[in-house]
Amino acid sequence: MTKPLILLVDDEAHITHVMSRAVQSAGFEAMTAEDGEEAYELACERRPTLIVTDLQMPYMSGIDLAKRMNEHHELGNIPVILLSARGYVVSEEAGDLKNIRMIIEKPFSAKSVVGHIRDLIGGDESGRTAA
Amino acid sequence: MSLLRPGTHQPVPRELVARCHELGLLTWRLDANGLPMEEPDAPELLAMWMSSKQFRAELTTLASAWSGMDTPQAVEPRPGMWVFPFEEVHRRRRTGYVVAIGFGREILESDLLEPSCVGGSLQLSAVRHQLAAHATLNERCAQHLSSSLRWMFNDLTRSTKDTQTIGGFTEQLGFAYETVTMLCELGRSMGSIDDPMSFIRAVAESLAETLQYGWVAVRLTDENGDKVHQYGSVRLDDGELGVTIARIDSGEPDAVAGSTQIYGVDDPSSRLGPQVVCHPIERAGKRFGMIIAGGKAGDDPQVSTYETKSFESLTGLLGAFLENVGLYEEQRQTFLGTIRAMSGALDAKDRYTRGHSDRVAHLSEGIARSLGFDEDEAKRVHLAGILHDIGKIGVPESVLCKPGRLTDEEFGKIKLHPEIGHEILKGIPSLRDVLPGVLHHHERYDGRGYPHGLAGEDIPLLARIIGVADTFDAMSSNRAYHSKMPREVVLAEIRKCSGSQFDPRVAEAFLTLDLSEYDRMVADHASQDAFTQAA
Repeated sequence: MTKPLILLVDDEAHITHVMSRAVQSAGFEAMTAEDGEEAYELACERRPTLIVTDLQMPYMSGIDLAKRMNEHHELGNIPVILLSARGYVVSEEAGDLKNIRMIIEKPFSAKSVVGHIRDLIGGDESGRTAA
Repeated sequence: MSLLRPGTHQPVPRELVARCHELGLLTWRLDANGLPMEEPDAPELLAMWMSSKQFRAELTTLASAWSGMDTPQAVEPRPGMWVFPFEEVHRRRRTGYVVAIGFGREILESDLLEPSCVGGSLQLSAVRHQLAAHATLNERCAQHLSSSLRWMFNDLTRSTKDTQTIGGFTEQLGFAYETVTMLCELGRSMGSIDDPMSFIRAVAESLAETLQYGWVAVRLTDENGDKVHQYGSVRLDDGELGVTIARIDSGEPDAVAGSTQIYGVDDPSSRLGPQVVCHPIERAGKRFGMIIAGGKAGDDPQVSTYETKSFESLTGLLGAFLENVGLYEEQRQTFLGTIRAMSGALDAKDRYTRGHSDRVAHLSEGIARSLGFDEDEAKRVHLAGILHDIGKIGVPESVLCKPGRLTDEEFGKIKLHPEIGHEILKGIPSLRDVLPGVLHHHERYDGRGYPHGLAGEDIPLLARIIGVADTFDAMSSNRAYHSKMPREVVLAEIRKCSGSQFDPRVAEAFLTLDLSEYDRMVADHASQDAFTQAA
């Protein structure tokens, strides 16, 4: 059985580095992107099981990424976790997007994010279940 | 996973360009089509030659070939001319190249040289002469150089990116260290519940310093109303603070992060802003007040959840601390109430000594302060004064209140009271420090006292202090066995007994005391006495 693929998006490499290690040791496959634009391209290409994205990034923010995915007929079902140091600014906007399942405030515990990933993938009815 | 995915923005490392120059190569920054973005980095005459139409055409041809390759390859477009390309990337698209160009002897005979000199109106011999000085490469050398430069490019690119990543880790780690240290230090000082304001100050100043807030206000609310304490480098005036608090009380924050409220400040020149944050201080459903902060400095003055989480931790600590302060105060009042009840029980038994314990406590504390005792020690002396005669509870009333002289046997019973007092109190851990005062306050400096006949410094200082205060008050009041003596006689007696009955240093400290408060206490106790007798 192939491992669920988690796309980790942040312009700060240390965040994606920490998250990649945590996600991989939890038995998932990790893929990283530095901004929303790159993440969208990768999502189209690789169809990840779940996306964990930062909010504030160059070229395309996390919320714009979620919006664009939501508009896509196939990518709209991929759950998105938004990580942010200023999530309070967009909490209302994010609440309107059905694919944003959770906003996690920075600084966060990688372990607890992995726990949320497990919960979300486990509850996914599309058949993509954790290995 | 590699950290070296094609970067969002990836310029050619400057160090690579510098190394190319050290290796005798010329460099040039081109766009994706091979067109120059800058002047070539080469000696003036060669730079002019390279800028000729013929030379530039060579580069655009190469760029066209490179555009189809994942990694552009080094080539030798003319005999004796090698071009080593390094790609520049922006938003994952190749936006251009930095090319390093090296020459061998064959270039001097190349058919590129003459037309390009003519095209650039340059003197062929001069160009050839200068080029000859740079023509140091051969085929084998160029191949090695090509591999080495590609490795260098990869390594330096990775190193640049890793340095940025380490910078991010360092910044985060620094912040985490600061926060952990702050929480540890505050955790350590949480024990100082007898001085709550110093802990509150420590919390507020840690917030101001670690999170770079210009001002931090702690608003404490109790049944008597509000008190606001201000900390930090910026001192707000009452108006500024009043407006802020009124706005918070209106209960309409601009944003909420967790339980932190955030208020925007419209006036950019205001010392309050750019944002004001407010977090309640609560514990077990009880609200103690709030922390308010603003005037954030640093690269990013907008409030982030890094700060609001620190606010949450600190207000949590503060809530637990204030709850402890309340519980401690309650416990202290219960304890003091019990002590007073015990001493009241004694007063009820012997009306002649009514108020005696309070007055001895007052005088003893005065002596202790005069001897340089600190606040805690002085309070302990006070407590010992209140309890010094508690053992008299165990002495029969017939003896205690007997008018006139006592028999030896009766006096023997009276003399038991320090030991009885010690027995009564010794099971109470928080009174351990006052026990020596209870047990030894009838010892004499010359060793002729009781119960143990201790002398000089062997008598605990606490007991030597109470000894002087006790004797003074006994002589100054009416007792079952004597009437009070005039003040000057009493003071003369104290002076006379200094060195025999009393420690001279303690007697001297006593003689410096202002006795007006003592006299007021005597008058109060006398009037209470009259009242209870009338009742």
